Amino acid sequence: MRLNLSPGSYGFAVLLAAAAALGGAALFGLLAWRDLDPAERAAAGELLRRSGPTLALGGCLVLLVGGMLVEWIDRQYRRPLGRLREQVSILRGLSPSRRIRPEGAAEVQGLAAEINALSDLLEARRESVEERIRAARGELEEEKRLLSGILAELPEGVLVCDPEGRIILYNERARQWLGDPPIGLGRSLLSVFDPGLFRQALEDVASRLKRAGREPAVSFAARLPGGRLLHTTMAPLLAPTREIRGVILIFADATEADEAVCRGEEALETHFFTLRRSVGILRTTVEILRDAKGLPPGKRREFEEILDRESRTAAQATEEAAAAWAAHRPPTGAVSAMPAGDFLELLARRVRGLGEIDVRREVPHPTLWVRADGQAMAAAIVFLLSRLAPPPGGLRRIHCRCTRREHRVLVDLVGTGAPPEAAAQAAWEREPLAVGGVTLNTTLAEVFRRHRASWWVLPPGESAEGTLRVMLEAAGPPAIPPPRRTTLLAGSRPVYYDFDLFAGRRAGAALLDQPLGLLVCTAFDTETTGLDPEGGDEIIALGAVRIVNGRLLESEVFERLVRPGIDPRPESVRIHGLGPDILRDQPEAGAVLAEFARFAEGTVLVAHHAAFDMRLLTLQGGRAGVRFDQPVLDTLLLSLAVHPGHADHRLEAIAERLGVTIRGRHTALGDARAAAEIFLRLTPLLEKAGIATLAQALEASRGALERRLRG
Amino acid sequence: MGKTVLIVDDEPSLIVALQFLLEENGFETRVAFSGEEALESIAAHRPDLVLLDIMLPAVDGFEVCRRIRENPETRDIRIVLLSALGGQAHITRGMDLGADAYITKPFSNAELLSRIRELLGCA
Repeated sequence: MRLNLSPGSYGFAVLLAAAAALGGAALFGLLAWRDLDPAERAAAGELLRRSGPTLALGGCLVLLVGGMLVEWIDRQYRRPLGRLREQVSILRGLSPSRRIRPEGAAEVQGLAAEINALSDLLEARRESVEERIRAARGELEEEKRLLSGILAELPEGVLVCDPEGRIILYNERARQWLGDPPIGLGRSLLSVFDPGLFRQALEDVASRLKRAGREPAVSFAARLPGGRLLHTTMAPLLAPTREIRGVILIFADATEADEAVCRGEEALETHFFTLRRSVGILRTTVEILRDAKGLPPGKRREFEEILDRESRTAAQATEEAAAAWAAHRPPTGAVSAMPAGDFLELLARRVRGLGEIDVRREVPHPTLWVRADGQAMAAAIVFLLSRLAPPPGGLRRIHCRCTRREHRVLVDLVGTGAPPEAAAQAAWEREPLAVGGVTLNTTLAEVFRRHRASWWVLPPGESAEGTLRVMLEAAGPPAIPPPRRTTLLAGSRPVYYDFDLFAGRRAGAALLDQPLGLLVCTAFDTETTGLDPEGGDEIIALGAVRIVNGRLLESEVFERLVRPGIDPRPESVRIHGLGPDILRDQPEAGAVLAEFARFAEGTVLVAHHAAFDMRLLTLQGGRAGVRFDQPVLDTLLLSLAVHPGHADHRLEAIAERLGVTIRGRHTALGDARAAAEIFLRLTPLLEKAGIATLAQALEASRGALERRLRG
Repeated sequence: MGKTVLIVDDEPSLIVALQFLLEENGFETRVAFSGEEALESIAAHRPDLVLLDIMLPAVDGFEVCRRIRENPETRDIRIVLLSALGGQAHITRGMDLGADAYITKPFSNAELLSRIRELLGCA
């Protein structure tokens, strides 16, 4: 038995008890001795002398029994209790399924049994909670799969984005139609979709929401840069406070239908025109032959030749018109019935957007409806106004009104000045529609064609000012009101994807203050002809992946080979294996960098040893007129900031330290993915070190670089 | 002396027929095959009435019509638009720009003559 003799310990207590027993016995003897008279003291002395050895033996026996008692308590209670405490501590922390082995006295064993029972109970509870979590997660996954399935199967493209155009959700069809450059979560829709049109539609939705009982969804046609025509419906997603948190865009591809209608109508129009003209000539000539008296024979022959020629032309035009009619499809697209009052209101708002213009409008009769894509037609009219009276000078006062003329509605804008020259007019028809500094992806001619509308300018007379007159098709009000499409978000988060992106975020200061875990990043890497960008080495491969809300999106990757201006150096080819033969048919750096710029637009760039890659992007991008001015994070510097004690900050070393497996080392995409995963593993470590926001990460990187440069 | 009618059309067959018809009925005629030619002809010899096709190369019938009405010297010349372009929009536009009548091809000669006589006050 080893005893610890420091104050407060069990051994010290035992020693103290033994000393107190001996001292007590001695004090008792001394007090008893003092009370004795001399005779008694002599007798007691005699007694002590005779029974001394017996007494000493008894004392020794008492001490021995005491010692054994102490040993028994130690074995039965003290040590088992100590072990019990250790086992409970293991049970609590490391290994909840372990059970305590009972030992020592019955009371201690009972205590251990009780603790075991309690542990069993706790574990059963924990398992049941975990089981419930698993079940709930399964249901959630199932729901997610179902929703994804529905979205994927829809014939329409569906896309949800916030009011700034940042994409939150989209289905496969939306990706196909909008996909050049590829769209992705967290990226801006406005890199592929007309920003002017998006904002105007959003403005219109907001304005409709303010009016009670008004359907807030708007429909319009959007022409994409690639030429695709999408019939688009925009509906708001509202917070419980009715503020617009985002919008749902539903796309239907109207390209083919539009082209078919366009071809059909043009063909029909041409054939009817020819037919009318020929029949006109036939009729006039026949009537002359019938009525004219004394027609000279030469003249008669001339007219008969005309008859022969024109009847052939008419027959042919009739055949062609019939064929065109058979191929004709009814028009589709965003041109739909809307109250003329709504259209005038929208138009007046847009006209005011041109500048300081006094716009008055007459409220038309509520039964007056027009067929229009309000957004496009208003843009077209505003464009015409800006051309008819260009600034400075421009328009001062405009009076808008609508009147019905049989199956048409005349929209008059009084106050435009004199009519334009025919040549100028023809040029406006073809140039891209530009309104309020934003160029839309369509032309005046296209908008009017889709509407089967026409326009002209009434010259100013003595009483009236110049008037832009637009003739639209009249429509009847629809019999059934359109379904309400507003979706109200519940207080909690919806079940699907990253709705966290709703949190209002913008570039600049707001971006700098954003937590690292919420940054939308593009992690990228390049392979090059060699290691000397300044000396003419160039990019030959570019790979990138996207990080959104702390997740690496496997579906959003960028991987391109580039044809360099110089051959890759042999020592580089040994590393990446990309020789001149593979690169010969690849696109040039300018095109690939422009594409990459669109892919990375509005995101934070992440790369390992970013200085090298950024140098290449700047040098080669500069030549192609492409700029990369977004913030850049370097995993090498961030690693230095977190682990200043480690000497090795190469990609492999960091990857090993953080438990990241690199798939495809020395391929641009493989290394980009590794950088992304490293960045994701570094984020919590950085946070622990007090580096939580983009600004702090940039500051820490700067510090790490300085320390490294100082050596 | 007969009234002068300027026939503007890019279709020679129709011009031949109309010219014969109008001359038979006591009108003097001039012809033009394009918008520019028509404006030049009007400036040189002011006609009493213009039979104006709309679909002309370069300067179309609408534009000719507008220019005739803009010029104080030619403002009161009668204009009959004669077109194979049917439809409300063209008719409205033509009348807006100051045409006196719009006749859609095909038309009857009698109808044409009666509109011309009516407009020239020689019915």
